[in-house]
Amino acid sequence: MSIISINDLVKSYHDSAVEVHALNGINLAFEEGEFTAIVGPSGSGKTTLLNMIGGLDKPGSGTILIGDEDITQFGSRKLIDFRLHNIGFVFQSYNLIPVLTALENVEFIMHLQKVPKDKRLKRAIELLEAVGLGERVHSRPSKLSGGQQQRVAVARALASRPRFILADEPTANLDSVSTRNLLEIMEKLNHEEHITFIFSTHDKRVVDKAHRVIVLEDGKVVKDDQFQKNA
Amino acid sequence: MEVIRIAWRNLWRNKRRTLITVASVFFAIWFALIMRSFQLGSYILMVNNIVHAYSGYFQVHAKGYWGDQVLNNAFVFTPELEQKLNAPKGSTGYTVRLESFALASYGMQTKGVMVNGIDPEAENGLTSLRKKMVKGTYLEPADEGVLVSQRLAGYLRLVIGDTLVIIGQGYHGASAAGVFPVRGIVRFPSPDLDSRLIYLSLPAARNLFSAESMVTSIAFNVSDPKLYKEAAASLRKQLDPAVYEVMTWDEMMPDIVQQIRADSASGLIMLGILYMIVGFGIFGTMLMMLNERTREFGMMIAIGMHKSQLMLVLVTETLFLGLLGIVSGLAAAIPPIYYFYIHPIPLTGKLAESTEQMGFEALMPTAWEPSYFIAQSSVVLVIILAVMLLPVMRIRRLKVMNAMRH
Repeated sequence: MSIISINDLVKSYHDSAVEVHALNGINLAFEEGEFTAIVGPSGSGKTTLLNMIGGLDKPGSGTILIGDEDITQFGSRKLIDFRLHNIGFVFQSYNLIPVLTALENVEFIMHLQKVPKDKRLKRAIELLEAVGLGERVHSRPSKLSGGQQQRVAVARALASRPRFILADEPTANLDSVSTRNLLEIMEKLNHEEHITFIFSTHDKRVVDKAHRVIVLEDGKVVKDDQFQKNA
Repeated sequence: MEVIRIAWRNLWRNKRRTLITVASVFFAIWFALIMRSFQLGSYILMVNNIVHAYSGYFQVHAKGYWGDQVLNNAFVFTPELEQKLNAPKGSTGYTVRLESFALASYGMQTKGVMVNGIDPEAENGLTSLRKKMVKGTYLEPADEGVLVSQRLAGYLRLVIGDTLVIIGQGYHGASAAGVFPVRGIVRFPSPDLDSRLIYLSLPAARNLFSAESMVTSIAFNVSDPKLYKEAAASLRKQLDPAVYEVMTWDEMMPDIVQQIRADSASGLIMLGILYMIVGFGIFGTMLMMLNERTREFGMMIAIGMHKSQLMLVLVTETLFLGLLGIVSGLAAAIPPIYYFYIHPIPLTGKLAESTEQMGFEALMPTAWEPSYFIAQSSVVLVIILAVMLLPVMRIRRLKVMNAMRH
């Protein structure tokens, strides 16, 4: 059974008097352990699709099944709880809580899940070590480089033990070295721990690493290619 | 704990702004408490001066006496009445008086005066008359001599041992005339009282005015100035309203009450303006803070934080902001208020003169009313609670997608 199943998804916006179809009948399924990139030109609907899958926005019509639950039917409180326990987010501009240290940022999401203090502390340290930031656990975001902040964001996304991670243009603000490091970490997590990653991206380096590339244009899937995973 | 930690750290994201906001609350509380405590202190002193100069906290008269203060409206001080006078709860004692107007003469000088027949010890208990002595000796219970106020003695050119002539009208038209040796000189801050008061012992006054067993007023003191109305009401219930009237000092002197109310209202308007400015200051800070952090709020909700949890963080931040100002304002205001309560500022120059001419001590004390500190802090807290509605409403209406694009 697919981890995510999207059926006839439609989302329209009204721009002045014109109706814009951001998503126009999307049908997709994602399996556990995928490392998928969603690509397409600006305005093709990549971010909108990611927001729909993440329960951050509601579609005009269609269903999004995560496991066997249709999240389009959820109320806002239930959606928040669902996101907390099932979905990890990595945003383009890191979006860490500036007043918390790297460790506290990773711990924060587990605090929301009511994980006991000792357990969340242990896991947060493990995750930060896994993304190569074992030495910077007590640094605040302002003291970290963009690449380091994005790695903290990846650790935070993993902290809640989500079913999958949605990453919206995660490398857009990173230099090439940081991008390479981040991709290596995510690829390793995918390969070794079967973490499912779904990216929206313009970045060729991300696309090159992906095992599946979905191309969107004008809110429609125009290409969906699967590649052999590296051993 | 996480809420408190995040709220506290958020407070210091923009140190300068937080400090300015805290300072505005601090100064509002500080100014409000200092200004108002001096204002209330001056009212308390004023009332205290009035009550302890002469009137007492409440008085008993024959019905209608206060509207027509003549000797013919005196009443008999019966043993039955005396028994009831010990009843009022909170009263610490009373003094009976026989008061009338007469002419006082010495040598070539004559002046209209107010003659007070008093029980010297009881009078001293209420008005501390003995402390007002500047020369001579105090009256004995059945003394045949008089105490003369200082300005009046100066006008009549009296010295201790001189004999004063008093001529007037006694009870129900009897003639009243007598000669009295001057036992002492008393001084009143009020020039009006100081130039017309003469004290006799009650037996001597009754004898002068042919008013055996009669009194015109009974003035009461109380243990707690806040309870004088209850004490007066309790006595009122004991006495026949067709025969007696019980009047509190504010009923006898409504003009003083009006004056205090008018002055107090102007002070409250000032406080209102001060608090409004502070309210808008905090409101502005919250508005800036909310606009700066909209994206962050969106992110927090996106990753799984409930809006109610986020509201709690912001409400805690606002509370911290307000409480820092309130606590520091209280801490800075209480010591000087207490100091000036114990050591009132002595007025000098023209201000002192005019204050004394109005019959009040030339002092500027503060009021030591802990309940007032709580009241002022509560007002600021209410303003802060009102300001808290802003983040609560903003978060309630927040749409994650819009916030993330902010």
